[in-house]
Amino acid sequence: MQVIVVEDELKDQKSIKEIIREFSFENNCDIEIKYFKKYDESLQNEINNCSYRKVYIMDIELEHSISGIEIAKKIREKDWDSEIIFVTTHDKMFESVHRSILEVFDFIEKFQNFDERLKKDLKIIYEKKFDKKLLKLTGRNVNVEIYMKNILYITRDKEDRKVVIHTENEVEFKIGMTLTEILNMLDNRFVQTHKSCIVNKEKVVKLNYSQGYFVLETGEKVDMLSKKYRKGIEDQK
Amino acid sequence: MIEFLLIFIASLISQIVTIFAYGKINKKKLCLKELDFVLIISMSLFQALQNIYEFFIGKLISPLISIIYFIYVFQRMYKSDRKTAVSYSIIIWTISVIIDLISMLIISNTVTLNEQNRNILKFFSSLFMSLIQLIIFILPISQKYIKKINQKIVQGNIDFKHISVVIVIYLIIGVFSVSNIDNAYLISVVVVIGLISLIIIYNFVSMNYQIVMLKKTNDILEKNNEGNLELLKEYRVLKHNLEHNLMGIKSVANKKSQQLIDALIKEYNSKFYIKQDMTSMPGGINGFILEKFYKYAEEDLKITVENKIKKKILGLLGPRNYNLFCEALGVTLDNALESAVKSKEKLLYLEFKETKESLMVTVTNTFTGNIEIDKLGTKEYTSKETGHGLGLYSLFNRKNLYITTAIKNNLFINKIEVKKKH
Repeated sequence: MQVIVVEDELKDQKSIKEIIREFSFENNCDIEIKYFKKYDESLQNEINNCSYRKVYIMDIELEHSISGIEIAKKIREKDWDSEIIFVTTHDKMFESVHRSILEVFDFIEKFQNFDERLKKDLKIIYEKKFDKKLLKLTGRNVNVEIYMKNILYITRDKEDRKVVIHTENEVEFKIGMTLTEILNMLDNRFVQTHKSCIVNKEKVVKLNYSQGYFVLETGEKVDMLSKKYRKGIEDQK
Repeated sequence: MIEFLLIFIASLISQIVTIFAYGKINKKKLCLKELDFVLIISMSLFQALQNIYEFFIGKLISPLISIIYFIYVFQRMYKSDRKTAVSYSIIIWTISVIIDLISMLIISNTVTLNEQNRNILKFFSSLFMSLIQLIIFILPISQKYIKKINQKIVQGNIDFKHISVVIVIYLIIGVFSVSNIDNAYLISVVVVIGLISLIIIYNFVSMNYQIVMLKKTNDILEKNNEGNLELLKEYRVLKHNLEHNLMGIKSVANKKSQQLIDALIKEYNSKFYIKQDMTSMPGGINGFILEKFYKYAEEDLKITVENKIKKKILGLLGPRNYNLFCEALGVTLDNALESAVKSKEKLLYLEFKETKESLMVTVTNTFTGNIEIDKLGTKEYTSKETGHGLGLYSLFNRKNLYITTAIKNNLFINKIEVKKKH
């Protein structure tokens, strides 16, 4: 795992280094750390290198530099896979907006259980599966990106001759494609359960072939399970 | 005398059956008056006399008289409209002629006619015809078909196929008449068939003419309607943009002008909420945005605005592009606020920045609901419950304005870029 620390205070840099070292020892993992005091060309080069996943730990307010939020925006211009942790004293509203928009992993307050919180975050990032695969779709006037992990299932709307993508965020996307076309764009967590349905099998908690339905982890019951596709579903388990 | 009486009774029965059958098919109540009895008896007397004495002129006019008689009787006794009465009279007459021909064929092939048995046979043949007629009109299946035929005639819903069937039926009647019936009767049948055919052809032609005329009128109406809808859309876009233009002017106006603009906006859109006593309204885009946010003051929206533009926006853009910028920002903000407020996270993020050439604003908001990817940003598509879909559409292909729309999971991202003044 590689951690990029952007912190202008030397004292805070040391404290972060110590926490990461302890975490590395406790979890028996190799962590490479790079330090930056401000946004400069070398940091931009680091951002530009998206060949592997990183963890950015950044102070929001940096002297003689653009803010941590601005650096995060630059990161997100290139890289949506790496995680960002902010060290902050800002209020919660600021936090919630940027957390969603820049996909910030956490905002940690400097003076409240800082070491404990940072270790906890690093552990979650270290253990969690890397999964930021996107389904990219293009409309006439819009580009759409949906995390595959957020897709529950995809159905075919017979009347409109379009596919409907049902997601976890209570958002449904409709697009003029065939199920086969969209299945080819997805990874192997998606299986066809019915001539008009594809499901994210990671989201399924129950399959009932005799009554032709499956239940999702959201509790939703979908009556689109056909015995014809049983072999395909079980082969991919 | 007895023979005359028998024929009279047979005619009477035949008439009663026909009148009863009409009521049965139409499910109408019979209302008889004294004069009606006189009519029925007179007609029966005429038919009996005609049968006994077989007047040449009677032979010619009797089918026509019987059709006219039934049209009148049906209208009078059942309060039917003329079209229905005419159509049923034609149907009933045609069926009677067919039955008559069949019964005559049977009789002529089985019994040798002489002067003694002729009238008795006529009586029984008439009774037999009435019985068959009664059965035909009482049977639900035949009732169904007769009703269908009547409906087609009354509505004028007949085409070449129907006309061909009618012609074939009448040709068959004609052929049988030629070989079985004497000349006078044949002439009368031909006259009646000719008249019926004329009525049908007239109906057919007039119906087709009406259809053609209706189609032409419809085309004109459709074109007019399309034109009106187009005008209405343009008016809506104009109104929508005018509101934002006025708000843009308001953002740089003095207090008195602001009051005048408020009054104008209210006149254009009574639904638009303006806090009249907003005394410390900030100037510039700040005021513009604040006014938009004010509508949602009671909502639990999480809004963040970041501004990296140091100079006055009006100065950077110039009047024309400032108006354009206000229009685009207004439309995008309206959409974003309405979507964000309905979403679970209720987030709205605005970022203003400038490049060497242009001024940029990014509006990001959370949303919930259905999105049609192919239609987004096209004419008349809206994801809002009360929208017209003209807002975003009106922003595309505008000079000096570049707008991009993207969706990332449940985030809607609109980037507006307006060229700086040179």
